[in-house]
Order: sequence, then C-alpha cells, then structure tokens
Amino acid sequence: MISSEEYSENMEEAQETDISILVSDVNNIAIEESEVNKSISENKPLPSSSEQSNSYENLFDQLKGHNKHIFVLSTAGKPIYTRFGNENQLASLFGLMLALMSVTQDSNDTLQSICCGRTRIVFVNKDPIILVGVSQRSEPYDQIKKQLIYVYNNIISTLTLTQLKKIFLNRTNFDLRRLMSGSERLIDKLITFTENDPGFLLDSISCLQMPSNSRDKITQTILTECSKIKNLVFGLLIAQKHIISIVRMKKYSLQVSDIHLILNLINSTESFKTAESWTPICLPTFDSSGYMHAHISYLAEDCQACLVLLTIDHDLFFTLSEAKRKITEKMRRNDCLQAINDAIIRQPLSLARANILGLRHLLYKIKNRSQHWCPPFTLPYNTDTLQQNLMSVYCSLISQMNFPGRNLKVIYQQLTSETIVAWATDEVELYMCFEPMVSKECATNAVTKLTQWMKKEEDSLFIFNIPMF
Amino acid sequence: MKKIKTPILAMALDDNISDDVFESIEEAEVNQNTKNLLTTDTNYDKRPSSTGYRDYKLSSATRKPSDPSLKILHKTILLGDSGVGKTSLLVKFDTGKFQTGNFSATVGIGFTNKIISVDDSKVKLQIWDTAGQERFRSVTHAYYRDAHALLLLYDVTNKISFDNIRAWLSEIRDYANEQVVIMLIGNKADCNPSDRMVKREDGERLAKEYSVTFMETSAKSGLNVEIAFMAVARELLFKKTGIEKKGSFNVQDYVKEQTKSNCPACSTT
Amino acid sequence: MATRKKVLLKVIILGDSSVGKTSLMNQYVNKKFTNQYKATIGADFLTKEVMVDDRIVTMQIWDTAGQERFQSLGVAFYRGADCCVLVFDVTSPGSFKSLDGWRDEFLIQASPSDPDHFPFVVLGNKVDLENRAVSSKRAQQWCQNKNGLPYFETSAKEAINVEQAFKTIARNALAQESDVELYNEFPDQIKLSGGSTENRSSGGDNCAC
Repeated sequence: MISSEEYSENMEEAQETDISILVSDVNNIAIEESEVNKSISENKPLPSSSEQSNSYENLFDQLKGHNKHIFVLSTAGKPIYTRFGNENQLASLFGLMLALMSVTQDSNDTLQSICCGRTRIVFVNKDPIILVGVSQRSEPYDQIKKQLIYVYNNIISTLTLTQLKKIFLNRTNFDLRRLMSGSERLIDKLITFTENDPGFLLDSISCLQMPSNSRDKITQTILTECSKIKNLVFGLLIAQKHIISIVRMKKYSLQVSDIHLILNLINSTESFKTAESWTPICLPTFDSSGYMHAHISYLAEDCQACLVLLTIDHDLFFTLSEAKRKITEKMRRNDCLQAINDAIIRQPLSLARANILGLRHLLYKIKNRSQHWCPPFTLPYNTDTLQQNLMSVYCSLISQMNFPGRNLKVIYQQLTSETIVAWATDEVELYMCFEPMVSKECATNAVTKLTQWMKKEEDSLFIFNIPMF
Repeated sequence: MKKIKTPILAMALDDNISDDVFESIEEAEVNQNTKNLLTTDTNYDKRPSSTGYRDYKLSSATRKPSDPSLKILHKTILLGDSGVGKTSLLVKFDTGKFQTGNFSATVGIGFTNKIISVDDSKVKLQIWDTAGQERFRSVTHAYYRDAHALLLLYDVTNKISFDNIRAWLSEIRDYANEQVVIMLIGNKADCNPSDRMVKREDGERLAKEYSVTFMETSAKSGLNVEIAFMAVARELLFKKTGIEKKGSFNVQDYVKEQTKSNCPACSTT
Repeated sequence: MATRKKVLLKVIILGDSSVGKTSLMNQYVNKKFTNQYKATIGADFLTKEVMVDDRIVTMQIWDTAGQERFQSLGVAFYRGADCCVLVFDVTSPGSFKSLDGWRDEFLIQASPSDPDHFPFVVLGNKVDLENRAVSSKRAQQWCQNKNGLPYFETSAKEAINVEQAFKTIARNALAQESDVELYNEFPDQIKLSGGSTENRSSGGDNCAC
C-alpha cells in the first residue's frame, strides 16, 4: 500500500516534470513495451492473469510491428478506432492520450505533436472526437495531420457532423463504435490510400486515360439524363481509382477530398458489385451537416465502370435507377461501354514514349483542375518497397515546394539514389525523378521537352470538360 | 427533353444523339422484348444485361405484360444483424455462387430484381438487401412500409444475432404492413456442430411464438436457399390470386414439405 | 437492438489520497501496478476484462493521483464516466467525511443526465486493520441516504470483497448503458441554396473542375 508521503513526493515531482518526460512515457507505451506490461511478465506470473498478460504482450508486439498508427477516441477517452490491435485491450493507452491532451489544455495550451527520435506523434482535437497519429516514417507534421483530417472526414461522411455532435451532447459516455461498425474497414483502406496514392499528396484526382471524343460522348450521355432530374447534384463515372467523367449541377462543385472519400467507398465495398445500391453519404467539404444520397451501380456485367449519382433527396432511388438504366442503354448503343472497356484494358501511357534521357518517373498536376497524371512505375521502381520509397521522396518534395509563404518555383536536389526536380508554373506542377548525377541543365531541357510532349497527350489524360446542368 | 442547356458537342450531333431518336428506338425494342419475355424465357435471358446485375430487366413501366402476377412487384426485404449472411444468401440465390473470403459489409441498401417461376406463373420479386448496421436503420425503415415479404435472418453460430430477433420483430411490427409475410431464417446451418450456438429447436420455438415460418439455410452449401425464396414467392402469389382460384396454400406446410424432401438430415423434427 | 460485441466502460476511482485506491487496483488486476503516469499527468489507467452475465465487458479504470494533482485533468477526467467508485479508509473518519465532497464534485463536473440514478459504488477499504474508526452502520447509512448506493467493505491487502465489488461496479454501469435507439431520423435534408454554395465549397482551391 502506498503511503500518503509517497504520494506527495510524486506530486512534487510532477510539478517539475517537463515535456521530455511525457515524451519518453508516451514512447514507451505506443512504440515499445510499456513498463506495465514488463512488470506483468517479470514480477507476477500469476496463473489467473498470465493469459491476459500474454495477450497484452502480443498486443504490444503487434503495435511494434508497424511504423504508422492511427487512433481515434472520444473526448471522454473512450476508444473509437485503432488501425492495429484491439481497441478494448488498448483502453489504457486511449485514456493516456486523452490525459496528455487535457493536461496541456489545462494550461490554456494545445498539444499538437510530440517528437521523440524518429517517432512523431500528432494530435488533432475535433471535439467531440480526438485523432492521434504515431509515425516512424519521417513524415512531416502537416502530412500526418492531413491524414488525420481524412480519417475525421471519413467519420463525418458516415455520421454527419450534426449527428456526431448531437450524440455526444446528450451522452458523453457514448461508445461511437456502435455506429461506426462496418466502416472501420473504410478507414483502414483510406489510411492505406493516404500512404500510397499521389492524389492524396497532390490534392488531385487521376483520370482514366481515353480519347477525348469518347469521354465527351460519355459525359454528354450522363449529362442529358442527369439534367432532367430535380435535386440531382453530381454524377460521377469511376473506373477503379480513376475518374472517367463528372457532371454537376450549376453552382455546385465537388471538392477533391470528397471525391477521394467516394473513391475509397466504391473501391472498398464489394457488395456494390452484387446489386444496385442506395446509401446515405455525407460529403464533409460540400456540406458536413447532412447526408447526400448516393445511387451506386456498376454499368453492366460487361462494363465494370461504376456510376455514382448524388442527390439531396432521400426518396429518389427509383428515379435514379431509371436514369441509370437509360444511361447504360444509350452508352451501349453509341459504343461508350466499348470505349470504356478499351480504356480500362489499354496499356497505360508510358513515360518512355516521351523519350527523355535519364527521366525515371514523374507526377504531373494541372493546378486549376486538381488533376494529376502518374505514369506506371517502371524500372528501377519495380517493387512495392521501392515504390513506397519513391512516394516518400515525392512527399517531402511536395511539402517543401508548397511550404506556406515560400512560393518556390524550382527545386533541384541530388540524392544518393536519384536526382529530384520540382517545377511549378502558373498552370502545372511537375515532380520528377531522374537518374542520379543528372545535371541542372539536362533537367531543365527535360522539363521543356516534357512540357511539349504533355501538350499532345493532355487531352486523353485529363478531363477538361466538366459540364453543368 | 429537348431543353438541353449546354450546347451539344459537334461529335455528339454527328452520332445523332438526340433523345427523341433514342426514345423511339427504345420503345420498339421494348415491345419486341416484351413479346419475348412472355413467350419464352430463354430469349429474354440471352439479351445482354443492361446493368451489372443479371436480373435487371427493363422497367416494368414500359412493358405491358399479360401475366397478372408480373404486373405487380413483390417487395421482399432481407433483414437481420450485420454479418448473418443476408447478401451471401441473396447472391447464392441469384447467381448460385457463394462469396468466399471476407466479403465486405453491405453499405446502405442493395436492390435486385428476380423473376421466379411458380408452377405456370411468374412472380417478380424486387429484393432489398439491407445493411444490418444500426446507422442504416433510417434508410431501411423507409422501405419496410410497403414490403410484401420479409426474410429475417440470424446466424446460428452467433447467439446475439438470435437474441436480437425479438427486437427486429418488434421493429417490424412498428414499421411494416400488418399483412407482410415473414420468414425467420437461421443461416450458416452448414457450420461445424461445435460452432453452433443456436439450436434448430430454439429457432422453431421462436417462430411458433410469433406465428412465422421458419427454416434453416446455408448460403455456403446452398441448403434451402432456393426453397426460402420459392416459399415467399408462392405465398405472395397465393395472396394475390388465391382467392380467385379458391385454392389453399399454407406456407408453413409448404416449407415443411420442401425441406423434408430436399434435405432429410435437416428435418428431424 | 444493439449488436455490440465489445462493451467498454469508463470507471473512475475517487477518494482521498491515502485510502488505498491504487492498492485496490493492484489487488484487482492481480499484478503489480506501477504508478507510471500519475506523477506526470495526474492519472493512471488500467484495463480489465470481466464477464457480466454472458457478456464480456472491458473496464477502463481511471485512478487519480490524489486531490490537488488530478484536478488539473479537470472535466476530461470525469467526462463520460459510466461508473464512479468512491473509496474511503475505515480507519480514517476524515476520508469518510470527504465522500460527500467527492460525490458532489463528480456530479458537478461530469453532469450526468440522471444524477439521482448515476451508478456510484462505495468502498470502505482497509477493513483488515484493527484501528477501525468508521462503523459499517454509519457507512451503510450514508449509502442509504444517497438513493441506496451499493456498499462494500474491502481489504486490498487481504483480497476481501475486491472481486465482488468490481463485478457490481461493472454490472451497475452496464445497466446504465442505455439501449436508446439513435437512428430515428435523418438529419435535416441539405438545402441547395444556389449562390451561397460557392462559399460552402470555398474550403480550398481543390475543386475538381
């Protein structure tokens, strides 16, 4: 039993505690085996608790095996989501995260991040929920924060902000997992997306490459049907990770982060392939207060493009179902389905076609359209690990280029394994990876040559016609 | 229809994309199809599906079927906790295939049309597959009211899903039509005996208490899948036409009979 | 018809600093409990699974560092608690008198929706000691006056009643967990108000068009 003297000693110590102690504590828990768990196995191998302690150890082993963690908790400290492991078993860790935030809040401060060696812990407070990211991947703070915001947006997309606030206003002890069940997998996939997809880094979407006249024909077909329907706001045609076509109601536009959520939903949900579906979805950037209603269907058995029709009217299923039917019929008649299939199976445009010496890979973004092109990875980026490394290189390059207030136009860096160049004009952003030892002059020439080549290819790589109705 | 607000693209005009032209073509084809549909099934099925979904047929509004049973859509809803196998059951019935692996949860509500031949009549089932999660209740409630049949599923390996059946039934009472046909289904009956948490008798007892039909199914093995939907179709057809035909049909007897003949192992009672 | 398989309860333990809260927890989870965060952030956390009827319930137990320090945790500490355990030392009349203060403090800070029926559990600890100063009767009387709170006499040292006390804590907290259905209605339909939406989507220049 601990005496009161010991307590007061502890308390005095506490007052002198600086942030560095907090850092090491957190690190112990999140990344390394915590003291608590060490003591379980070493000091008290009681039969009744050994099973539990084993599972605790396994649990922390599981956590240790990953270099990126995302946790979501309520402002009561109750777990909502963990990327790895089991939330209930990690309940103490969630409590600790809340306590860390509230200790800083108590001194009218906000805890944003904790750094400890290669580990960076980022906190985002979106009352009534809190998001915490733990990364050992040398990612910049802004990057981790943006990932957390994406996770937050996904939760909003499931529940709406209105509902989320209302729930916690009336019951602060609510276990949000109850309403989130089944959508954890969407968060898992979304986090993977934010780690691998250039669209997340560039705030842009990728389009399915196809001749522009085919694309226009498809867009026109969708537009004709959609324009007849009251309260229909957006229509999107999607082929896996790529957009084929977008139409929209006059005065309304769809933001990239919302499109990313839609893409993630479609690509993570097998059941959309078995039946025409109808589901509420909140688009947080468009309007976080309420649901849009999505009619989601694959065009045809022989054409696996997914049509998403978004309306504000929860009673529009049959109207949209009928519209979808007509759209598919027309597309079949004027060979659009064939054009889509051709585009899906076609070998994607290779960078080799540009014939630029020393250029290995690039990301090309058209700024005012928020669209990018990422050519297929070729040698030497032929493994997942190498591709992920390349993405990390892009990530840091992009964050340097877009550092607030700097307004950089060109970055040229020689790294050990490649030479990297960022190049921005008013219209485009270019992030290029050359072989090592490529000179500045050579890189500049490459940019000129590439820009000319891209002008010819642009029409099929990007969507320039997003009509309104 | 002619009020096209944005200018039609030049190439679109070349291809004669005009609604009027399309509508007339559609009309003609529809009539053609209607004939086919009503004379032979095979022709109908050979027609390429206009959607990704096998049974998506042309909208009934544009057809003029002479078969009275086809005139009416029979709305059927699959209900039950998440993970009990609603989608798997439907997919098995629809395509004969079992979705293996961790098939992801249904999002919102899924819609499939299915035409079932019952003796010499055809019954068109419009099947709504619902997500079991709580947050989707507001979506599914909207479709309860005019449903003709409800397949209420639990998972025989999951006690909680069975315990929740009473709550589902009371919700059905609150939201659904009084005349609705209810079938209670214990799915995953192919499970390892050691995994089974709900005895067949428990399911039967509960069904009896609420006077609903009961059977056990397996979307994996296909056990009773066809019979479940068939029983619903027969019951619905009987409700529509039975009075005229002065016949009698008892869905519970039918199910008993069918499950007995098709799977002796499962009809031990 | 909640289909929750994983129930989690937040349980906070209050009481004067020498009443033996930490020892109780040590005893309960059968392991040496190190106060590793109490000194730095004012609270320590413990996770324990219990079977209540046929459900597995995880208790997230918040142990405080005595009154001065934990107050820095403020409302975050109390927020959303499912059960509050009030502990006093049967050899210390002062710690018993403090219970009223702890209870009031909790009700003010946590402001539960139904304060009269909030699940408190009272533990009189250190019954193994001989210099007892608070009688069972007196403690029971106090509990009776507060709408009949469950009362347990425990000894962390001798493992008396600890398991039972925590079982009651879990059961009472669980009973409180309302099964209120939340999905009644959609939030209001989004209003398309024409021009104003340019503002609405002005969140960034990332419009894909």
